[in-house]
Amino acid sequence: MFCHPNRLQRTKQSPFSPSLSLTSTRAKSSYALLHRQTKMLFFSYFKDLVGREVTVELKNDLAIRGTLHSVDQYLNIKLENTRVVDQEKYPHMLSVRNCFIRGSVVRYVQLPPDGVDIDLLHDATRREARGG
Amino acid sequence: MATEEESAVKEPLDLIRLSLDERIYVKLRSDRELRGKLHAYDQHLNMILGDVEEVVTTVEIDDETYEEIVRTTKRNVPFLFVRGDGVILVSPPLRTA
Repeated sequence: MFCHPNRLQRTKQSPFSPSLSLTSTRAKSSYALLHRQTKMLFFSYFKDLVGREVTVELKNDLAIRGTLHSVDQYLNIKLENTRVVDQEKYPHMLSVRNCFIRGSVVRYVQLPPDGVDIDLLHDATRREARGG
Repeated sequence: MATEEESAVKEPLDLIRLSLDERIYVKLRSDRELRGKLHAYDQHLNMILGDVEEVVTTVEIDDETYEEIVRTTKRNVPFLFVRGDGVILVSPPLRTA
């Protein structure tokens, strides 16, 4: 771990882009402003999507609709106000209203079509692909 | 020219970059296929696709006749995030029509 006080100062900022702080912009376009970010594209994208309604489809075919509460670097997802999409087929989560979903069990996330600025996504992807 | 270095195709992921904003075909695990417009991807092959058609193929074996019945189920999703660990291959759309 870092023990020099100077080093400690630097680690408070994002290690990927020393000149840009991760939390500097909370606007919808923040994921495109992370110029030299690698490995964080979808994490940033999902952070911008917090508060929107999404449907997470798991690898075991269970589909859960809910409000995106939070996401982390592994793309683990926390949903609030959840409902199972096909309630008759999957009755074991009838009373669950909030859940944490491990990122590795997700197959798809159905996103709101108006939740994205497509051009920003394209730009961020081109930058990410080059940096990776 | 020095600036062409940026768009040079060096590794397989660069080939996918050429398909950004184009329609692509994605083969997934569990006999699933997607056709949609590629909007974003990363090195894990996590992707965001637009105007997606998902095709799920199932093979049922009749108990009596033992014949294989191949069924496909199609679904349309306007905007989809696909987790990369389920992706087998990415390609320009195949001309099957």
